[in-house]
Amino acid sequence: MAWRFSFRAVGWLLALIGGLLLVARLAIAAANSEFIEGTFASFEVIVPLMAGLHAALLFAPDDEPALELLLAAPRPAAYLIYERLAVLIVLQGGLALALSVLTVVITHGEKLITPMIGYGENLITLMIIWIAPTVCIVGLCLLATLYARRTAFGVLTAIMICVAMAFGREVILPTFPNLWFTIFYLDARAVTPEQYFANRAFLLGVGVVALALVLRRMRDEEALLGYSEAKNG
Amino acid sequence: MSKLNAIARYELLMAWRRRSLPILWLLLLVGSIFFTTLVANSSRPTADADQADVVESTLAAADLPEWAQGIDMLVVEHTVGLFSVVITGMVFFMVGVTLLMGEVIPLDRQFKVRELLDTLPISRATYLVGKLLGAWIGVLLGILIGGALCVVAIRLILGIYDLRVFAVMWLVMLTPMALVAAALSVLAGSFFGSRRTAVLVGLLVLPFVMTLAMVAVPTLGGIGALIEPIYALVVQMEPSAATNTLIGQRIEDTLLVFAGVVLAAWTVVWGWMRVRSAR
Amino acid sequence: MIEIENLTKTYRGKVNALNGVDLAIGTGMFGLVGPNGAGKTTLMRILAGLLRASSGRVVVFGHDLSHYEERQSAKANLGYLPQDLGLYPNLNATEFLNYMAILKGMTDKRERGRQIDGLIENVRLTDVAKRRLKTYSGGMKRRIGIAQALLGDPKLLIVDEPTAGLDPEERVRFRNLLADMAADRTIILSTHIVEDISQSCNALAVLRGGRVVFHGTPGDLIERARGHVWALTMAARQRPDERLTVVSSLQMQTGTQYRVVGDAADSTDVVQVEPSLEDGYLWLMQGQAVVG
Repeated sequence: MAWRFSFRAVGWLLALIGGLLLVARLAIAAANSEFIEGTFASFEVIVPLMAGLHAALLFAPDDEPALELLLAAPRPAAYLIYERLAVLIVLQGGLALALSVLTVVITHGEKLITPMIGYGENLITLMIIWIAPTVCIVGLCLLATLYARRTAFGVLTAIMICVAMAFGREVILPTFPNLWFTIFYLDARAVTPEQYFANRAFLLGVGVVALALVLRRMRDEEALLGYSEAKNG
Repeated sequence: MSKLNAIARYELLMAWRRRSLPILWLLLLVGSIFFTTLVANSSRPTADADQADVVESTLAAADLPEWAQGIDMLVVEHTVGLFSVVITGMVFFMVGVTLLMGEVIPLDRQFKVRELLDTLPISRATYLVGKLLGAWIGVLLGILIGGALCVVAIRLILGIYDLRVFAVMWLVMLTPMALVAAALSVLAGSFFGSRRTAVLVGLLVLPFVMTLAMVAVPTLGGIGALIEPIYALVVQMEPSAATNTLIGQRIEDTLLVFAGVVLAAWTVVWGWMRVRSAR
Repeated sequence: MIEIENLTKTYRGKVNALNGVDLAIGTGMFGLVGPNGAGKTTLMRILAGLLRASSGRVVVFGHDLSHYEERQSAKANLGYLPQDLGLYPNLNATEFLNYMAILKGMTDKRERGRQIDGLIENVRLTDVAKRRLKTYSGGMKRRIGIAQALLGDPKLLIVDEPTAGLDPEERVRFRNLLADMAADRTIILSTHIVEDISQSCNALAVLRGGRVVFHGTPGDLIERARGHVWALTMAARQRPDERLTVVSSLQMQTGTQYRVVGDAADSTDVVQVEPSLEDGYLWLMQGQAVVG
């Protein structure tokens, strides 16, 4: 019952849109070999954006119907996040994983983004590309929504992160080259494999820390209900 | 009129207090100033710049047509660079407007005030126009305040530039686009009863608004040419009154299309509200 | 004057909320009672211009509510307090009331301010008038709801469960406030607290299954139950006959004393007692009374 409620609360629209965009990109690559090169990169752009938007919609205290009832239930409030996050992972992650497999099968042996991290163009490479930024943006967007109390701010965070990252590779990085470790869409050919892995590890770490902060916040029922804010008027 | 005024005024007050307006204005400022910094960094000569580059730049200025002689090319370079600053500010602002303004009408339902409002002697049109006006005034205030702050910030970060051209670009590019985004967001959101759904709808409206913006930017960005021919996006070798008329006409047409889009959306929503209340 | 003729409201799914309601409501306080789902809220929403009748005719102070323009005109004289009232959490009480007052058409700023101050005083919220509404307790929100309904001195006041969530003192104050106002206007009060009606209404209607099953004065309804209300004392673990409706029970050392409605004349240890409005309502709901 709780899972069904979580599935309804999370929704599937954004996963569907993300999936359709990836399928479309894959279809273009399959139809025209000229477009194969950007196929892996399209995962890096589409999966984190859609997962970030989706995460922003997971739990906003001000927009949550029956928040008091949910928090008064005997089980810990953090279970709400666990359940919804699990649904999000199944929907977004499952879809991205399935399409990753499909992509590797379709493009295997073709000219991809060689020499990618020195490991070739296999499933592991593709997963490394999209998992770290996805975890990072999911954590940050969940955190933004939870602290701002409203879905819109989390969604804005997702879009702004992606816009900043798009600028990041083309504009920020040439101006501030020391920021390479923060960039989602880091060109693997422009840095050493060690730098690339350090970048992915940093993004993953940021995401995990953000998720930990989310779960910590979920232990503070009073803050979730907004009472501390109300006292200050 | 006082009812319309009250709806708009209180909508503005509530948007401010629920932090939608400050965030929106901040987005505009951050987007613009952030990009100004990047423009400043890219236009500043690096320490190891070759002397030949400087010479080439001077020669390029000398190659300009006769009507453009005597124009300070540094000012021109900075001012042209501001075109991308305005576009970046506009993109940031429009994302915010589309996502944050859609909640205006759904919130009345989420807060359960709508039933009460429906018992008051206000027409559907007054209610809708009031909400729209409130959103528009918030957006316009952001454009004016953000613009004023940007004028100073750009001067400090980038150096000298043509204020007149920046001002018209800021107003003519940003204002209609932001007003259209706000209108579409408010009107599309009016079909729904929760802030969460309104955000989702905003996400669906966003690609349409951005496409509209990208199509209109080349036309609206040409407004600078009406002040100084050198700011035409397509280089004019022979500036003339006819060219200016053409630029003006294209801008006028684009603004008319915008008005048409808003009017069409308005008609759909108003018609829907009418049908719904007739049930 | 409010005239309701053969009013029917059918929702989607062929749910009949109102089924041929006929009522005439004049000046004074009019009570509306009935079990959950009887159609009270639907009737009040139709009177407030929120819903349209499926068939029948509703005229409020000469305005036929089947036309949009007429509904809008009728709203100019209306004060409405819905059962589930929401407020703007980021406004304070004064701002909220000022907003509602302007939308009600009160254009004179001085008069508006005077009335708002008076109402805030009346509902005893002066000390917290500048605090945001999101910080208010449930009862305080209800009192703001009452204040907004009274704004503009409306000729018709429709209040749905107005005293729910109020403390006993506030309930009495509000009841008296309504009773004072009822002299020159129509007040329709829907409530489950029958005591509120018995203390303040000069007429009432009982709805059941979308039909009016009683229309008259509280005294008429009380009279219907006369001779059918009993007090009986029973030993522990004994219960009154299932055909009797238990109004109240009181545990005593000698057993349990029950107040019941029904035909208990043949029972032992019963004493006939004076009926109240609540007894009258329960007797009516038992379906043993003749439809009024």
